[in-house]
Order: sequence, then C-alpha cells, then structure tokens
Amino acid sequence: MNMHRRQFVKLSALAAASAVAGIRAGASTPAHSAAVPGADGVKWDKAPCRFCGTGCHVRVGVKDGRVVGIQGDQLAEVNKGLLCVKGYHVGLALYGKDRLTKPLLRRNGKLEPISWEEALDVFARRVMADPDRFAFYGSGQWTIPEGYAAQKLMKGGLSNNHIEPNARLCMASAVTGYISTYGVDEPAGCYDDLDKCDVLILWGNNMAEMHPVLFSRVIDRRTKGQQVTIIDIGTRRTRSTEHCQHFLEFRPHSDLAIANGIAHLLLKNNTYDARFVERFCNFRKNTATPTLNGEPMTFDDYKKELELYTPEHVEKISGVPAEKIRLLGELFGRRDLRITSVWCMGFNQHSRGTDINRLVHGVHLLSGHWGRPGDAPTSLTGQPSACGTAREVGTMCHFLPGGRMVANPEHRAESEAIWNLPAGRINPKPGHHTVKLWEKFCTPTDQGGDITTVFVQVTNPGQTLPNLHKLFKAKRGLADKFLIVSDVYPTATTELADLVLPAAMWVEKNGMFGNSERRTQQWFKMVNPPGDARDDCWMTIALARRLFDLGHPGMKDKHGKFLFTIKNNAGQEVPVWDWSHYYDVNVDEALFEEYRKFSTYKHKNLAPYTEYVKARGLRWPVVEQPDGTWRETKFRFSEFDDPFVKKGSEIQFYHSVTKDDKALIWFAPYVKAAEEPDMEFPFWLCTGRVLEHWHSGTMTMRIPQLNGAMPHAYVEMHPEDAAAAGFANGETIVVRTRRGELALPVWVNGRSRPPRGSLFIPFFDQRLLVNDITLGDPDPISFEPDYKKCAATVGKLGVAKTLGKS
Amino acid sequence: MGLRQTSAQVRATQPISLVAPYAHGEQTAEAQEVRTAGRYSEQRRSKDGPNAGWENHVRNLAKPAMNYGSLTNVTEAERTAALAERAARRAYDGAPPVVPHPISQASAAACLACHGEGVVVKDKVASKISHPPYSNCTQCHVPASGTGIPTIESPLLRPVAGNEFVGLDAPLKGSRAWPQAPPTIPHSTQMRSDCLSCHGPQGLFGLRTPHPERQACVQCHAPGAELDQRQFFPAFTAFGSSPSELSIARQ
Repeated sequence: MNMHRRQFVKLSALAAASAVAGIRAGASTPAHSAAVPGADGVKWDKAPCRFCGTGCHVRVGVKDGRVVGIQGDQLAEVNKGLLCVKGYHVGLALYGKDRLTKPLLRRNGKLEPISWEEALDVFARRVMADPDRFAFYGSGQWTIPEGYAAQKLMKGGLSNNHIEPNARLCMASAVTGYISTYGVDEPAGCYDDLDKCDVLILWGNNMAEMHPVLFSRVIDRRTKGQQVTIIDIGTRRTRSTEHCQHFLEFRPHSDLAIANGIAHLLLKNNTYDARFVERFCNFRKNTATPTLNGEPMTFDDYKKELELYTPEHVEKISGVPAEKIRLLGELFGRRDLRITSVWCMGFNQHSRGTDINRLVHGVHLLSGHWGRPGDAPTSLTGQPSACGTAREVGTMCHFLPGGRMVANPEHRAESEAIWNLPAGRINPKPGHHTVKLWEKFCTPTDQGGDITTVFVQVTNPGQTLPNLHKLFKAKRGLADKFLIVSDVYPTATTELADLVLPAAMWVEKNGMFGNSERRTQQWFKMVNPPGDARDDCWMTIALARRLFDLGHPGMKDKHGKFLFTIKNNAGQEVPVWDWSHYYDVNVDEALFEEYRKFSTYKHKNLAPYTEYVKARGLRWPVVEQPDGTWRETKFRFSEFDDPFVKKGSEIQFYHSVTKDDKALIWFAPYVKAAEEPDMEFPFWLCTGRVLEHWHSGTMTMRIPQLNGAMPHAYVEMHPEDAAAAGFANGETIVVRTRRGELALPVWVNGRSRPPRGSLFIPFFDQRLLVNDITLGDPDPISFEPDYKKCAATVGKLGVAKTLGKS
Repeated sequence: MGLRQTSAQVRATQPISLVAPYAHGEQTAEAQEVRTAGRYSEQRRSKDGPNAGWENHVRNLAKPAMNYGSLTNVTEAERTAALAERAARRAYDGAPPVVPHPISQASAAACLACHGEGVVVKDKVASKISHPPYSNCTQCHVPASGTGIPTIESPLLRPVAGNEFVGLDAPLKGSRAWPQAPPTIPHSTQMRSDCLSCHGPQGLFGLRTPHPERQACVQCHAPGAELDQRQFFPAFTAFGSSPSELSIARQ
C-alpha cells in the first residue's frame, strides 16, 4: 500500500466519521460530532450494568475520557454477551445535559451554587447540632463500599440506627421470607437453575420486561431445541405471557390461595416428597400478631389448615379455573421434573409479602423441588446491589453487617470488635424503617416528628415512596426539617431538597455491586465525573471527617483514631477525606477488605478484593482452596456444591431457625387486601415498571433511544372498561383514589392487557407521579408497602362526577 | 398498537372478532378492538397511521431482478452514505438499532414475519435477522418514535433533557495485507451469524458484497479477535498482572 492511498483512506475515514456522528441518533448537537474520530484507540474495560439486579456485565468503551460504546461481555456467565436495551444504552446515562455539577444550597427558596467546603460545613453542623435526629437514606444502588461506609458512620460512629435503603420498598419481604424459612437471607439457587429447569413459573413477574436477559436465557433454550414449560401466574397479560404455555390470571392478592391450593393437592394426592419433608423440614404458622419466627405447628395441623384450599375453593377466591390449579399441583407432584419459581415485586410489594414468599418456599420444600440444579424458589431483585449492599452490608435500621442484628448484644459486640470501637458504642434499639422514617420526617418536630435531617444518596424517594402527599410532600413548609440529596440529575426529591450534592455515577467511580444470585462484582473508575461531582463514598467519609474535626466523639475508634483511617501500600495514612487525595489509594479495596471480616458469620464468605478484579463476579460463599485459588458456590445448602454442608447430609440448612438443620414450611391463610375495589372505587390499581425505563427514570428518561420508545406514563385498561367509560385510546383521563388523583393518557390494547376492572400505571414518569395516589399498605413483618393494590376510579378529564362501573 | 385512532373513530367502531389472538384461547376475541377498514379506493389517499407514506400502487412495487453480474465494489461515498444511514438508528457502533416504524407492543411474534427472511418492497427494506437464535426482539430493539399511544399531550412527548453522549463510529474498512487481499472484518461479529443480513443483496447499497453467491464469508474475511472479545486486556483476565498491581487505584 503506498502512502497516498493510506492517507486517502485515513482522511476519508475522518470525513465519514464526522458526517456519521453529525446525524447520529441521540447526538445532541453537531458541535460534538468531531469528538470521536474513529474506532481506534478505544479502551475497553469491564463493569456490571448500572441498572437492574440481574447483574449483567458490560464492556465499556472509553476514548478521550468519555464513554463511547457498550458491549455485552461474553466472559460474563450471567448474560453471556447479551444485554437488554437499557444495558446497551447504559453509557448514555452519564451524559444527560442537566447533570448536577455543583453543590446547591437553598436560600430564600432557590437553589444556589456553593462550594464543597461550604456544603460540607452546612451539612456537618446540621448533623452535629442534633445527631440523633439525623437519618441516612440510601438504596440498593449504593455500591458495597458506599453502603458499608454509610453503615459504619451511622451505627459505628453516630450510634444512630436511622439508616435505611429504598430496598425496604423493594425486597424486604423477600428477606423476611428467606430468613423465616431458612434462617438466613438470599437465594440458595442461582441463574444456572434457569438453564436446567423443565418448568419455569413466573409468580406475578413480567420477566420479559423486567429481567429480559434472564428471560431470554430461558426462551432461547427453545431455539436450541430444548423443551421448557413456562407458566405465568399474573394479574394481567404481559409480554412474558406471550412466551408461556399457561397463563393463570388471578384476582390480586389471591396468590396466597393459589400457593395453598398447590400444597393442598400435594397432600391430598400424596404426591408431596415425604422423605424430603421428614429429613429436612419443620412446620410453622403465624402468631396472632405476625412475627418473623411465628410459632411451631405439627404436620397434622398443617394438613388440617390446608384442607380448605381445594381447587374449587381456590377458584372461587382467585378466579383461576380449578383445573389450572390441578395442573400446578400435578407438576409439583412429579419427581422427574425440575421446577424453578421466580418472583420479584409482585410478591414483595404485597401487604402479605412475607407470607407469600414463605408459601412458595414451602411449596418447593414440600414437593422436594429444592436443591437440585433447576429446582429452586428464587427471588429476583430490581436494583444492582440490593443484595450486595442493602442485604449483605445490612444498611437497614435493624441490621449490622453480615446478617447480624442491632438488637443482639453478641452481634453488636462482634461489630464493635471489627470496627475497633469502645464497647457499647452501637445503639441497641433498631431505627425507623423507611415508611416510618419519612413519616417522622414529614411530621412537625413538636408533634413527634423525631427525624429532622435526612441525607439521601443514590435514590429518589420523592417519586418512589408510596402515598407521596403524606410521606414526602408534607415536608414542604416544615421550617426545621432539612433534606440533603446527593444525585446526578434533578429529581422529584431534589425539588424539596435544602442542600443538593452533585454525585459521580457508575464508571465515574470505583465500585462493587452484588446481584440477585449472590454474585459480587467489581469495576474501576474509567472516566472523570463532570464539574464538581464527587463520589458518594467520599461524601460520607468527608462528612465523618468534618464531624471528627468538630469534636464528635463517635468519629474516633477506641484508640482515638478516625473511623475511616485508610493506609496506602507503604503503610502511610492517606487523607482520603480531602478530595484531591481520594484516589491516591483504592478506598473501595480498603473498605471491602474490612467489610469482608463480617462475611463469615453467616457463611457468606467473600474473597479478597483482587479476586473480584479478575472475575466477572463471584457467587458467595467464596472459599479458598488448598491450592490458593478461590472457589464460588452455585447451590447453597446442597452437599454436592456447598463446602459448608456436612458430608453425607445431602442437604443441610446450617442456619436453621430451629437449630436442627431443617427449613420451615409455613402455613399462612388467604386474607383480603387492605383496600379492595368497591362501588365508589371499582378498579384495582397496580403500578410497576416497563422495559425501557429503570425505576424512577432519572437516568433512562435522559437517554434518547429509551425516552423515544417510551416517552411518558399511561394508564392501561381493558377495552370494554374504556368503552363503558367513553374513553378513546390515548385520551387523557383522570384516575382517582382515596389519596388523590392523576390525569394521564389511557392506553387500550397496548403493551399489556389488564382484565376488566383493573388498571396499570408505570411509575417511571416524574411528571405523572402515580405514587401520589398509591396506598402502600405495609407488610406487618417486613414493613414493605404494597404498591400493587389499591382501589381506584376513572373519569373524564374535567368532569367532576366519578365514573364507576355501576 | 400503532393505530392512530381519534375519539370519533373509536365511537364509530364496534368491537369485532378477528382471529383469537392467543393459540391457547385464553382471551376472548372481543378484547381485540380494531378500526373498520376503509375502502380500497380510499387507501392511496389515506396518509395516516403507521402506513403513512407507504407506496402501494402495484405497478410501482415490481422489484428489479437481482443482477449479480452488475455488482461491483462500492465507492467510498456510497459506503459513507450507507454507514451514515446505519448510524442514524444507533447510539454508537454496536448498539442495537432502534425500530423505525411502530410495532406490536404486546408481542414480538410479528417482527419475524418480515425480518425472519427479510423483505424488500420497492425502496423499503426489512432486513433479515442477523442473529436468529435470539427471539425476544423487543428486549433490545425499541421503536424510535413512541409507543403508538395516540396521545395528543404534547408536553409529555417532550424529552426530559438532552443528552450529550457521542457514540463510537463504525469502522470504515478492514485491513488488507496487500491491495487485492480479502479485507478483514472491521467490526465485532459477536452473536451475529448471518453476514448477508447487512452485506447481502437486501443490505444497504454501500455495504453490499460484490459476490453474494459466495456464502462462506469467514473463509476469506478474518474476524478480529479483539473486536470479538476473544482477546482481553491482561489486567482483566485470570492470567493477568500481580494482585498488587491490580489493586492500585486508577484515576
């Protein structure tokens, strides 16, 4: 090739690239078009996706300090190179035009830019003035080190247990379900079950939209010639239903009766696994006032309780034909099949969330569909580190790290020992759970509102709490309440914030997440955050240092050293609270290595940080082998895979509630929902997510491809209901509940098909806040609110009279 | 579902039965409400809905026979134009393209009716799926312009904010060992198994192969190990640098 030709090719490449970039979908202005001259020089690095709990790994392409492309990571076992539309566009989440780049303080009602110095000063003085009335509210999007730092600051430093993650709104009932069944949290199975199961049951779970990569993992088996039966047990037809052989459409809340119906048939037909039950299970039921551990019951009592739940009785409650209940009973009664159940918010955001979680674990235990690859009851999570941070680090008001409890003196002592704190530093009284925390924050201080300052990181409670008028918007006008929000974009929460802190996100910082299948993942910072945006973990440490400087005694360990003393490889202390030194050392690694000490108590053993650097995540328990390598565990409690199971025991529930290595099969009766449709409010109202948007849409609404596909929220209803009310498709209507009303377009024969008498509204749209009108009746054990059920009515816009079905 | 109905149209329309939409017959046919079809004579003038702009005059639909002999190497300009057209539907090179037409929101089954084998009708091309093992189309491909909800709420259609992301561009060409050598594949072939989806006779003109009769593409055109993720940066493999080097924080 001669030089002329080479030059020509290069020049045309440049010209073409500029031309291409100029009209690229989503490129805002031609001014940026020349920023990326070609494919060469792009550096690719691994990271877990920023969005859901599936935990796909992506490869992030970086050029000239900016993310320019995303690929599915073929080395990742979770997604094997595939992503969903959100994952493919995750890199765009960094580049919304209205990124927050400066700290903002509200003065005379207006948010005005201030320096970080001022911001930290305002913040620290506010906390110092009343440390007991300070609360820290984060999420399952906290990285593991971020959540750990927050946890240590609050419980170890301030002796204050008012720390909660939004995960309380998301998977708290899954946690109580696991703990009350197995004595320890988190799924025993993993995604490998999806490759092995003969039957997959979606319990109120629209997996095709919410966990599309996992759903494809199952349905793509069919293209490879494998047989898999998928059963959708749901309250409306969704995209998932299209791929299912069976659809059981049930009346909201009656899933309790369906699960009992299966257990009834297993017992009646004598197809339950007597050997499994005898060896590995005990029975439990709720006490009069429901508690986590309930009270024992005998197998005979259990049988007696279930006698009522004949297929015909279940049909009467649920609307599911008796023969479909029999179908489920027969499937679970077969030993030759492998059955995996998955669920997500349909179970967890349920005012009997703990019970329905328990019942489905119970059906699997009773039928012996447990512990073999493909036989598993598995909850899926919606946030990237709901498991890794909220559940494992335990950033909840009653947890200490590693599955320990605030109320347990031994657990407090162990935590104090690891943190090198004086005995008695940790407050023995659990803090306020999420709903109570916000209720207290929105109540005037002199009327018992004992939370006056809240620091919000990585979440958007102004959109995602239920019944927002009561739990969030009531803050407006309460002069002594102070809301501090760290975020990357303006949100419904920053609207009421008094101090806004600009945050770095995803690959703008180091991080670690833990996904739904116990997989801990790590990534490195790849690009700089914009403007003055900084890491959330740094904010926590910098706040702690300010409090240290102001003389708060809790910021010192028992030797007088600062709580977050971090040393470099040479053993020198690094002032990481000073932003200019924050990346002189890997703070994530330092915090993780400290946190790792907590992980062995519940056999959730974590490997050293460096192992995660090499891997696309490892599933705990990760145990060191004689040859010095680290081995992950796919199937917990099963002898063939879990190193902690005693040889010869086949299955050992070694954290058993009953201390006899047995799991608990629970009975819980069907009860009615807190608010059901009536003459005045004749519709069920359900809320949820859509494929294109992730939770409150803060990131995805700013991604043109996702926003273009799903530009706004809507209310889905049955065409006959729409016709009866005189609504045209797309017409703006009013949806009203006892808590308020919301005007939004109606979508008939749209993406999903609710049955008659049922409405669905997604919650991603900040402009159409469905949580203004949701009820949020909490589960009595997990305190997780129910977002899926309340009574509503619909009406024409501007017409005062409500239009019921009567 | 892409039907831009007005209130008047809906009121004038009785629910009618089509084919039962689900094979196992769970849902009553009444649930499917559709517009009454207009008269054929009106169709050419009716320019609404997803078929606006659709050319349906039979005389114009005749497809010219593929003349393999006439295909030659495309010019730089033609290639550039093709890449630009391609890029307009992608956030970056390698991103799943958005769908330039309304879709059935409820099911991906309809996608393969056209995209299964690919369809060319006049200048409209429904390209053949390049990755047939993956069947959940809407997981990655979403419509570019909305849900098809016929809403007139214009403020809701306004994007929340702009985005300043600038995506990676498509590489122009593979490398050739000498001027007449077969070029290497300059892009990732990850998960894609059908080259002719883009490079076949239905592909964009500037990307078409001059020899579609030869089917074994990788016999001559070598894929790139790095592009296809078969080669990794040492630091991120199990055989990488020492742990102490790895744990150094990077700015």
